[in-house]
Amino acid sequence: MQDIREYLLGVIAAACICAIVTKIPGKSSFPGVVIKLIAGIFMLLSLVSPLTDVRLKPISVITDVSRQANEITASAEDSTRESIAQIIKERTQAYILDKAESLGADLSVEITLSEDSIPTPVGVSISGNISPYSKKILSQTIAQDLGIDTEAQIWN
Amino acid sequence: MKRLIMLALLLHLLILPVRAQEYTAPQAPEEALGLMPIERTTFSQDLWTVIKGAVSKLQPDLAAAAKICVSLIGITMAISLLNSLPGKTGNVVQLVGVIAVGSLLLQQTGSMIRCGVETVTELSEYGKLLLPVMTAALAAQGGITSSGALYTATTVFNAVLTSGISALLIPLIYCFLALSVAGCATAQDILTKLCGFVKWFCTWLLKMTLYIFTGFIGVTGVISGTADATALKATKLTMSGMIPVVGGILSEASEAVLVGAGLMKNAAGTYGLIAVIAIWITPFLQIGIRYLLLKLTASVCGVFGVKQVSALTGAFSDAMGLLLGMTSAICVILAISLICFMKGVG
Repeated sequence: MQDIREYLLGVIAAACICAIVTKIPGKSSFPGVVIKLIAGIFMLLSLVSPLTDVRLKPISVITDVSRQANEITASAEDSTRESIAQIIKERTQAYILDKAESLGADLSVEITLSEDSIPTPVGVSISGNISPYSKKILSQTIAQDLGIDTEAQIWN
Repeated sequence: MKRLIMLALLLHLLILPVRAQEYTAPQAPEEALGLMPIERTTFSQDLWTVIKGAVSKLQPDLAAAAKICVSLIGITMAISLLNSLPGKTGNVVQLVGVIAVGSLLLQQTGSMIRCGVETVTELSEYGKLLLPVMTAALAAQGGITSSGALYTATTVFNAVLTSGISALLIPLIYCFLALSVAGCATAQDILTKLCGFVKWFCTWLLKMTLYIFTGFIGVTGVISGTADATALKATKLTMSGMIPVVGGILSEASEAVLVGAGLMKNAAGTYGLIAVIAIWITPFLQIGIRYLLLKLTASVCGVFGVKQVSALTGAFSDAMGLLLGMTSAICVILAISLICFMKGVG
């Protein structure tokens, strides 16, 4: 604020000096023209000089902001993938448990998902009491409906 | 009974768990919060509540501005009377009159400039908190490219305009006022012309910033929006090519998360937009009322035939107009950006 006040006072003072100085000589005389020219330059300098100190934020701000944007979107992408993976895990578990229940088996299921951008079920760990016949049917159902090969099915 | 239990179990299976990360807008600053509705309704009703609140607080400002305008008219009448007296005191009276009017208006303008700068800073700071939330929500909704582009453009323009206002435009307003006072006091044409140039430059700079920002947002919005929409379509195609059961589960899961993120994004965006307007509206009305009253006073002063005072009052009202432009420019940038974020992918 102090700087602005000083600037204002400077400009007003310069304007007053210019106004007085230009009134001294006659209108058409040669010294009059020269004085007017000098006064004009002096006035312009007093106006423009503080503006030379102006520093706008450097262009590097764009790269910083771009990096921030990448970080934010990557973090959001990760959290979205995690949320989707969690839902897929639960829905796949529920699907297998539903099939097992219809076969009269009481099981607990743990699903393994792929690390791809779209997480898909790639493995399953099943534990509990189940008859060999039901186990065979359930294993085939898991392989056919969920695409989890029998090799990727771990039965405990 | 057995059927009912089965139905309940089936219904339970149909419920999709929406477990997306929470995206909530940051709380508005204290003063703006006072204007915002306690319970959210529709956007238009919330906006109306904010406007009503801001207008109801305007009474003291209106009285203060009117008081200054009456004083200005009084000074002009006095100058007019003194001018009509015989003798060669015209120039002295004019000079004294201009100094009196200048000092009367400078105090008011100083406080309004401070108010404008504070509003610009507050808007900019709130934008810095709100934009990452909106970016993350849009990215979670599938707008990876658009969210990044929008965030970068808005943050860069916000930073450049904020620093430009405080480092360049505010000193230029003071420069404009100094030139106006000096020009009216000395009746020098060159000063009046310089004054006109400063005003034109400030207006041009603000206009150009907004034009470039709007153009950039428009172009990047179309390009990145199409890229995101194509990426989403490709993902859906991949899912539809999978085993039906797995594809169905994947599709439902991604839909649930995307819908959840979209809902939170729109809620955060609407709150943010109302908060931005609540921060901006009070200073806008305070400066706006002074702008209009000074314009009116300049016209009234013109009736008394005291050109310099009328011109000086007009210049001060122009300075208020520039301040209005500055505060509104930041608000417009944030509002356009928030609307683009809410529009989402596509």
